Amino acid sequence: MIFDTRKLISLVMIALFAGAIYFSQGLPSSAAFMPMLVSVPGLILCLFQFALDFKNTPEAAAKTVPEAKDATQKSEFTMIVWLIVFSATILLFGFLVGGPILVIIFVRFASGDSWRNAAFAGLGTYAVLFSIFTWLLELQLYQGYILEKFL
Amino acid sequence: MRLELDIIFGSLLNILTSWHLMGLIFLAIPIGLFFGAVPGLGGKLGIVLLIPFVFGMDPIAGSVFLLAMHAVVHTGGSIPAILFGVPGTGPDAATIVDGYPMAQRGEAARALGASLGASGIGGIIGALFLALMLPVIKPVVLAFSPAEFFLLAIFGITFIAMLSGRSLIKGVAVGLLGILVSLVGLDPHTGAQRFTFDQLFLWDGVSVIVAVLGIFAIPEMISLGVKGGTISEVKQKAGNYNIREVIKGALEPFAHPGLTIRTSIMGAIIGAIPGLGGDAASWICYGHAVQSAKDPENFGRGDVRGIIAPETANNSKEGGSLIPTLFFGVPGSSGMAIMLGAFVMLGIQPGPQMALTGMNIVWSLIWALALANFLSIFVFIALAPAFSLLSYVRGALLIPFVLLLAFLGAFLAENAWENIILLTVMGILGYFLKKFGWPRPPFVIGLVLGGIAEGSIFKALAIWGPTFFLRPMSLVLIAMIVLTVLFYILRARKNKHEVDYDL
Repeated sequence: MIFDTRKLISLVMIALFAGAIYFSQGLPSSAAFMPMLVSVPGLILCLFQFALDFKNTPEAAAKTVPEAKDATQKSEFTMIVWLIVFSATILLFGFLVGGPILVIIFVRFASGDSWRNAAFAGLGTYAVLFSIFTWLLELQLYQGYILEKFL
Repeated sequence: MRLELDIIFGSLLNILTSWHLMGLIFLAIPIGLFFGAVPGLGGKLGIVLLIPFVFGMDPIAGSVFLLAMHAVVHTGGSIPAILFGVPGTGPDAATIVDGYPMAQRGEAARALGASLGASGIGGIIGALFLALMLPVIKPVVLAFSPAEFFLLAIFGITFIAMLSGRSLIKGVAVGLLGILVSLVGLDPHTGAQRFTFDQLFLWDGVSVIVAVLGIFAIPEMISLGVKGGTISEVKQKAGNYNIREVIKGALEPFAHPGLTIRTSIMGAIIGAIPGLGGDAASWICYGHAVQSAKDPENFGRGDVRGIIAPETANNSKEGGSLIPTLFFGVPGSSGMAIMLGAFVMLGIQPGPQMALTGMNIVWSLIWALALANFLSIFVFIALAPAFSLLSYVRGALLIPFVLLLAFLGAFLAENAWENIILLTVMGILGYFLKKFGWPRPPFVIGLVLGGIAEGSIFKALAIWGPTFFLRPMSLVLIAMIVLTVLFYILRARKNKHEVDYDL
């Protein structure tokens, strides 16, 4: 039996609806009404989809070249790691400091550009963040967990 | 009536005499053209990425800016469609059929001009359509009871689920997930915490902005990173064309007035039907142009009417889709669903009360729509050569900026750092939904309509009890839902429906 990631998303959807049903049990009946009204048919539909995934997978999966699949999965993993790095850096260093750093690192290492271009992109990012959001729109940007401790 | 005239012309005067509002419209036009001209970006991403910039703006300024940007996206989308045969946005695909052959035989300037003129006229007629429909809509909206609003929400989700993907099951399931996410927060009736897990930032619910950024913006950037290279994968050189020829081409719609007006009106009507959207509008109008022509054999070989029809429809549908969005709170399209979220963030509450207290905003939006489409003609002529180069923008260079803006938007939505984590989680979920063919537009529709559906069903049950389904208008809406599903099943059987696989 071939198990591919397509089924995983069906399982995640099943888990989300099943979780909603489970947590709705502890709510007052009127608060639980709408979540149940939505989750029960949602769960049934996702179970049906999961069954369809099992029925349809072998042919489709067999058509895929393993090397191409591996390369795609590697790129996906890299991008998801980048996303988490972005999230963590902003949480730690905020937008004004973390943002330009992230742009420099991404342009230099993920995009493969020169340090000069990366620095230029980083400076541009800082200029946009500061001039538009902090100065013009007078918004209070998140400073980050670490910088908040020191500032 | 005098009061109405005050509002109608007062709104126009307010825009025309305000440097701030006119400046925002002039700023929004090239941004909208940019998002249209870069294949893979599109209007939805445009709205979500501009959201951080409208924080703190007054409701009229913010909504005018976003709508003006969104109104001209398809105008920009025709540039790569005509020059390279790559649609900037989905609905621009119909423009390729005749636009690309025209470009290949050296008439790129005429084709671009025709697209530009048709887009401008279509957009203005769409705004006019919205304006003319107002006296009709007002009594209809006010006659709707909570029972009808609940069923309208369900109808909207079903319709959009059916049209936005190959699988109805996946579409409806994602729509239901959207409703479920909209239920997070304090229950409006009991005050009980629902799915908040004792997190204070979730008490007011999941921000529509965070969800939209997570489900749309982040997955697009992950896909771009996975794909690599330029956005459009076009190998040709940038198109060269004569601006004088573009201006001549812009007058082409006036040589076919009947077709221009008919397809503009058709586009606006299609836009007003929740879920049909731009693809349907442009292809239906293209089909109409072929059917109504005395020489249909010329279509597909570079007939200018094959550009006029879809381009008028693309832009006029925006006016039509504002009708359900503003007055029923039911978005006319996924783009409008995001726009709806932005309106709410700006303090505009779409729904029946708009017909009573929000007419100044409605008229401001109508004028913004018309002005943006008219002014886009001049901006397009000035900037078109530069826009044709945008298809070569390297994806890797866009990714960090877009991600940063997405995180910024998520944070600013509620000034909560927790939203940054929520955005990451929703972004990863959104990517896999996209990858495995789970349509994402129903999620946004469900998220936006969830609150309306819950409020309406409680009110309907309190007033009529479970028999609210038997009200005449309710029965009409139920019949529409059933017919929609039956139509889908029949179509699926006829086409030997296939499940979407993108491994």
